Amino acid sequence: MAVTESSVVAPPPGWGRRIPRDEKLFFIVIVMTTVLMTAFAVGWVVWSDHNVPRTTAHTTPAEYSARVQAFTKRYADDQGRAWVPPGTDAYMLATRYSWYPELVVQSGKEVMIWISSGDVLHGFSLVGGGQNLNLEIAPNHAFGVRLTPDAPGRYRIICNEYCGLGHQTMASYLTVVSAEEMAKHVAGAGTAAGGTGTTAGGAAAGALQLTADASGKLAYDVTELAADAGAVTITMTNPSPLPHNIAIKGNGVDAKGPIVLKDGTSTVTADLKPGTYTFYCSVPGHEAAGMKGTLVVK
Amino acid sequence: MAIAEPLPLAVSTDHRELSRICTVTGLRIFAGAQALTLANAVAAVLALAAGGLFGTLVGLSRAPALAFLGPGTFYAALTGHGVAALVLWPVFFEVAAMVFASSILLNARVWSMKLGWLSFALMIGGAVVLLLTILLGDASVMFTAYPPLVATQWFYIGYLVFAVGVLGAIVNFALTIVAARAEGAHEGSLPLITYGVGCAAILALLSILSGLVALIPAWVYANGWTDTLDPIVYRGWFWGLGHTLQYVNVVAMVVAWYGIAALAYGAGPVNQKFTRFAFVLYLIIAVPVLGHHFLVDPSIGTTTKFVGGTAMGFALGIPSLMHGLAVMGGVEAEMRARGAMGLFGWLKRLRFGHFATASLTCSLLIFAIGGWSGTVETTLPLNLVNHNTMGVPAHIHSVVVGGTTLAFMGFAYYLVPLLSRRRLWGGRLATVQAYLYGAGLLVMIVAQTWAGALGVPRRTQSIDYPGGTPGGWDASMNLNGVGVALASTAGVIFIVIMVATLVLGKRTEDPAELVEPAYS
Repeated sequence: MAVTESSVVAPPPGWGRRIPRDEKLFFIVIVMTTVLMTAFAVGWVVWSDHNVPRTTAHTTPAEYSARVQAFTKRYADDQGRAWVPPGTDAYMLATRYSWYPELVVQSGKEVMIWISSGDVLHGFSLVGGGQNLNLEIAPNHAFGVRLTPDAPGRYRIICNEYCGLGHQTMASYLTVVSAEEMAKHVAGAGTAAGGTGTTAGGAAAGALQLTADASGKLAYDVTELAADAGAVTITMTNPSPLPHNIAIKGNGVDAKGPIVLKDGTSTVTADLKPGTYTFYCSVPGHEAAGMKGTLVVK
Repeated sequence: MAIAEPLPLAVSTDHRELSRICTVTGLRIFAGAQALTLANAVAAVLALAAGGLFGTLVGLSRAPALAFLGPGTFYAALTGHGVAALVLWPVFFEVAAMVFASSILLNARVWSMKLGWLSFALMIGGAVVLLLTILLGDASVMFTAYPPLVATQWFYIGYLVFAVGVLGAIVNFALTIVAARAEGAHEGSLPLITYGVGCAAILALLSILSGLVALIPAWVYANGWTDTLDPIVYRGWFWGLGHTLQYVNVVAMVVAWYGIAALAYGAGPVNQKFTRFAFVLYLIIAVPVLGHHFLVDPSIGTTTKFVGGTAMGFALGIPSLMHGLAVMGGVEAEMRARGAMGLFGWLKRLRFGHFATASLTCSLLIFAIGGWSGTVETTLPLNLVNHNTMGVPAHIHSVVVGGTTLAFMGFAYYLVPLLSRRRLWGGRLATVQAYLYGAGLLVMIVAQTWAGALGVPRRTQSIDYPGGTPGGWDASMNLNGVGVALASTAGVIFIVIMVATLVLGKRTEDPAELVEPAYS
C-alpha cells in the first residue's frame, strides 16, 4: 500500500495516473465476490423451494369486491368464515381495517389465495408459528399467492403497511384444518349459500332501511333512526366496494348483521326496550371513522 | 465575527466581500460563505433535535412495557421522525457541506449570496410548514405519503417548497465552482472533498427531480382534482427521491469520513484515483437500486426486481468497501509514515479517547453492519420474509444513524469550532457522546433485527393484537426501547455540546485549541 498520497484539500499533480497494485487487487476481489453472490441469488430464485410462487393481475376495487362477494356468498359459514375446498381459488379483500373474509383452508393441499385492496396500500403479513411471509397489497393490483399449509392451526395475518390511524387493529387469521374436518364441513353445509349477504331486505313490515356511502366514505346515509319498542329490524344496503354491516349496541344489547360487500344487504334484528341505542358498522375502524348513528326507541 | 483580511485584488471589484484566513487550514474564508454554512449547519442541528425528539417518543412508545402514545399521537410522531431525521437533517447538513466545499475549500466567494439566502429561506419555510402540518395531526401519512392515503395539501406544498430551495442551493453550488475557476481563485483538479460533495449534489438533483414527479401528482390527487393515481407508479418515483436521497447521505458520510481522517490524523486517501472512481460508482449504481423497494409489489416483473433490487443492491457494496479501505488505509499509511511499526502498531497510535476516533470507528463499524443487513434484505427470497418487518428499520438505523449521523456528528465537532472560532465545549464529553450513541444504536440494531426475524411489523402503534402476540415480540421491542433510551441520551448530549460551543465556547484563533490531533 502506498504511503498516503496527498490531502483531501489539494490533490497532487498527476494523481490520475495509476491505481496501486494493492487497491487493484482489492477491487478485483470485491467485484468477483459480488458477481458470485449475484449468481447464488439467481440460483436461489430459480432453483430453490424457498420462493412462494406469485402471480399478479390488474383489477379495480369494484370488480375485485364483486368477486370476493360472490366467493364469500358461496363458501362462507354462518360466522362469515370462508371454507375453501381444495382446488378452489380463494379471494381476500384488504380494506381499512379488515381482512375479509377469514379463510379456512385444508392442510397439505396447495391453495391459490388472491389478495387486493379496496382502498389504500396494505401489507399482507402472515406471521407466527415459524411462518413469515410479507406482500405489498395495492388497489387496482391483485396478488395471487400459492401456499401449501403443512400443519393444521390458526396462523396470524396482520397488516404491516401503514394504512391509517386504525392500522394496528387490522388483524385476522388463516385457519388450516385437516382433510377430515374440511370434508365434514363440505358434506354438512354443501356449497349451499350461507346466511351471509343473502337476506332479502325489507322483509319485515316497518323495517328500517339505510344505505352505506357509495363513494367509499365510511358513513351511512343517515345518522338518526327512530323505532317503536319491540322487535326492531334494520336493513343496510351496501353499494360500495368496502365491507360493511349493520349492528346495534347499547343498554346491554349487542347484535350484529353479517358483513357484506358491493350490492349485498345486511340485516340485524333485536328486541329493544325504549331507550337510546347506537347503530354502527362493526368492521374494525369504521365506527371510529364515523360510520354510526343514534337509534331512538320509544 | 472578526473579519481579518480584505479581498485579494485578483477578484473583480463587483464581488468585493470581506474574508479571513483560517489559522488551522490556511484557507480563505469569505464572510458570506461562513455565515451561510453556519446557518445551514444550525438548521441541520435543529432538525436533528426535532427528529431525535420524535424518534425518542416513537422508539420508547413501541416498547410494550411503556406504550404511552395513542394512535393519533404515535403516527404523527412517526411521520415527524421520518421527515425531520431522514430528510431535513441530512439535507440541511449537505447544503452546509455544499457551501463549505464549493467556496471555503476553493478559497472562493459564494456565487450568489442572494440565491444562497433565498434557498435557505425556502428550505426553512418548507420545513416549518411540513412540521406544522404533522404536529397539527393533518399529515399522519408517514414521510412516504403513499397514496391513496392523503394528507392536507399543505404537507405536499411544504415538501415541494423545501425541494425548490434545495434545487437553488445545488445551482448555487455548481456556479460557485464555475466562478471560482473563472475568477482564478482555484486552479487544477477539484479537492477530493469538493469532488465527493459534487457527486452528492448530482444525486440530490436526480432525487429531487424524481421527487417532483411523485409529489406534484400526489398534491393534485390530495386536492381531489384527479382520482387516478396508481400507488405502484407513485412508489417508483417516490423512491427515486427517497432512496437516492439516502445515497446523498452515504456520499456525504464518506466525505465526512475523509474530512475527519484529514483533520484528526492528517491523513489523506491512499490513492486519489481509487477514491474518486469509487465516488463515480455511487453515481452509476445508486439510482437503479431503488428497485429493491418493489421486491414484493404486485406489479413489475421478477427480472426487473432482481436486477434493480438484488443485483444492484449487491453492487452497491463495491464503492462502500472501497471507501472503507481508502479511509482506514489512509490513516494506517499516515501512522506508518509517522513511525508506527508492526501489523497493528498504527492502531496503537490512535487516541481512542478522542471524539474523532470514537465517531469514526463507530460510524465505520455500524455502517458496515447496515451494509450487510441491506444485502440480506435486498435478496429476493429473503425480502419475502423481511419486508416491512422491524428488520427494515434495523437496516435504516445502521446506515443512516450509525453511519451517516454519527459521521456528521464527528465532523460537526470540527466544523462548528472552526467556523465559529470557539473551542469545542465540554472536553471529553464529545467522546462519551460518540461511544454512547454507538452503543445505543448497536442495542437498537440487535433488538430490531431480532424482532424483524420474528415478524414484528414496523410502523405500527401497537403489537398488542387480540389473541396475544407470538413469543419474543414483546421482549425484543422492550430491548429496542433500552437502545433508544441510550441513543436518545447521547443525542441530547450532542445538541448540548453544539449549542454550548456556539454560546459558551472559548473564543480562540489558536490551531491547537481548535483542532486537537487524535493520534500520539
